[in-house]
Amino acid sequence: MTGPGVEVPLRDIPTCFEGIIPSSICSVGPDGMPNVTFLSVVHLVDDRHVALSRQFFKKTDENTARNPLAQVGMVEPATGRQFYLDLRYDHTETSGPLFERMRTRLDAVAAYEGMTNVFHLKGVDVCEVLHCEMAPCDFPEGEAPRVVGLEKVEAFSAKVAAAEDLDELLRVALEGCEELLGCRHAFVMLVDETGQQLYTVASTGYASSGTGSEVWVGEGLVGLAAERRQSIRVTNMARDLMYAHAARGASAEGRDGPVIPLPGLPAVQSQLVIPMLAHRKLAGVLALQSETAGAFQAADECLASITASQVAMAMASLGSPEPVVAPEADSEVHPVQVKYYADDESVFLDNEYLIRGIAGGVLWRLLRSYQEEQRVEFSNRELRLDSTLALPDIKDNLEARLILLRKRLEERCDYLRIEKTARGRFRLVVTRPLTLVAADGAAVL
Amino acid sequence: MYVINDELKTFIESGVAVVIGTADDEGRPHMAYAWGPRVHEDRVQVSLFIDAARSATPLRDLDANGRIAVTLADPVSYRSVQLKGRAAGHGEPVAGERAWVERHRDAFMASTALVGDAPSTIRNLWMEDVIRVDFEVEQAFNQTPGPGAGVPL
Repeated sequence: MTGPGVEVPLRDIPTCFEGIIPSSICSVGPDGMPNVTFLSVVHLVDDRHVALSRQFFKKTDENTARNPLAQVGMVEPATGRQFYLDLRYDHTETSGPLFERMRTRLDAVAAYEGMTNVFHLKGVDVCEVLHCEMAPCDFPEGEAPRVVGLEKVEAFSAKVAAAEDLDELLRVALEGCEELLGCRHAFVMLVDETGQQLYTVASTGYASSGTGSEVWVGEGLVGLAAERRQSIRVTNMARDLMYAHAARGASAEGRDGPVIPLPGLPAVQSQLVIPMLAHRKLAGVLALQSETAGAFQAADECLASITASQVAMAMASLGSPEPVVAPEADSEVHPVQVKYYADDESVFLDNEYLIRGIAGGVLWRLLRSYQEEQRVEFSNRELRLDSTLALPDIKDNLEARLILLRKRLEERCDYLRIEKTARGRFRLVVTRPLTLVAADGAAVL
Repeated sequence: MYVINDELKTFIESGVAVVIGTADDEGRPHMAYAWGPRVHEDRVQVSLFIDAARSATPLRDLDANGRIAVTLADPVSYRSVQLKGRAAGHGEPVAGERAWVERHRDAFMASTALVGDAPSTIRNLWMEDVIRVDFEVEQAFNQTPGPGAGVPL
């Protein structure tokens, strides 16, 4: 057991500021009466300052306006050690990076459940920390800090630099999540040519890959990170959702799911979503998940941001590759109906949704060439030059769509696939007869 | 004086997280976690228990002015209530009260396990020796996060 009163540097207790276990705050009214309440997160600003969100704490706000002193109690998640922070209110911020970071953090949980206007962040109270001490306890040893060796970062960086195409780059990015952050569940979404939607192009560690799933920029946790170009870290999903539900006074309303569900863990507790930016442009997001509360800490967020930036920059500098493809056909088996809807370029295989958008348009174009000209070998270049596809002038867009298309085909059927044959070239492999049907029209072939 | 009804008594004595606030006469606030809240038969007096090794400052404040605030929160639903009142005394736990504290700690841990707290947290959350604090409730407030927070019950 330790004695009281020893000053503890804030930087020594980073996990207390993760919002994994609620903190509590005590203030004093003009009549000398204390007021005590729980609060979800205390943000560490620097070695001498913390920030508290001003949401529902009417009495706390009234009290600190007259008496700037407050005491916050925090619990270290891994050890249960308790710390008391004596604070003096300094100022309130209603805009700026700190405010935006805290606002996004609050909005993220609501967004996850499709709720809006649950929390209205009125301001962020920045307080000076006068003193921080550990409460007496039986086991005063702290947890070992998590350290990632620089050599691992260097190795990751070298792999990024060596990646020859987007496919390899995405694989390196997802492997990096495990190697650097110990995270086995991650996915990459890229922003589409309109800049308004994200689509999943690669994932690892999920029962269902979610490749091709889409989300609007601004929608949900992932969409919010993309919209605000700000990383979002959720450390205790279960607790945050219950907090949101309590605040809202009812359970969340239903929301329309995307046609393909996003990659997701059934019992996700921690999430880290990092926008991938290159040359100030949003390329996509890198999303990491864990079923353990507190799996991602502030240092992990830094590391994941480095990862995401490196990958985004590498994507931006990939040359216009010449990809992929080709194949053969087949027999007297029952033909598969491939139905294409021009309005959203969606493709259905025997009435099962496969893909839509540019990837759908590309597939339709390939299948028509296959049916009409018996062609199986294609190049990225010819697709880029094909005006009927209306590809935007984004050099990495087509390659990403081809990866998406290839993965969706691998997941959804065993008679249709795309194989890379050389840089920028690919082969369409068809092993069952196909009947192509355009929209609500008659069979094309 | 605030009279605690059956429903609120049940809530107070469930597996809630309990934190107390006190203040010295210079207006310096202090908080401490507490265990085993129990509503007396008169429905006005409440006892709770704080870890003896962590009790020096709160007890000094209570001896000086008696003012106490106690917030009780359900770790799962986040329903929260704040009681405010005057300390009526403190002392060693009497027969049966340690078991009462144990019962509350068990219920609390069952609730926090539902929201994913690591079991390793337990070892320092509380300590064996506790001090009983009795107080008379004068006011009660809804403290559940949301627009209704702070409204008197």
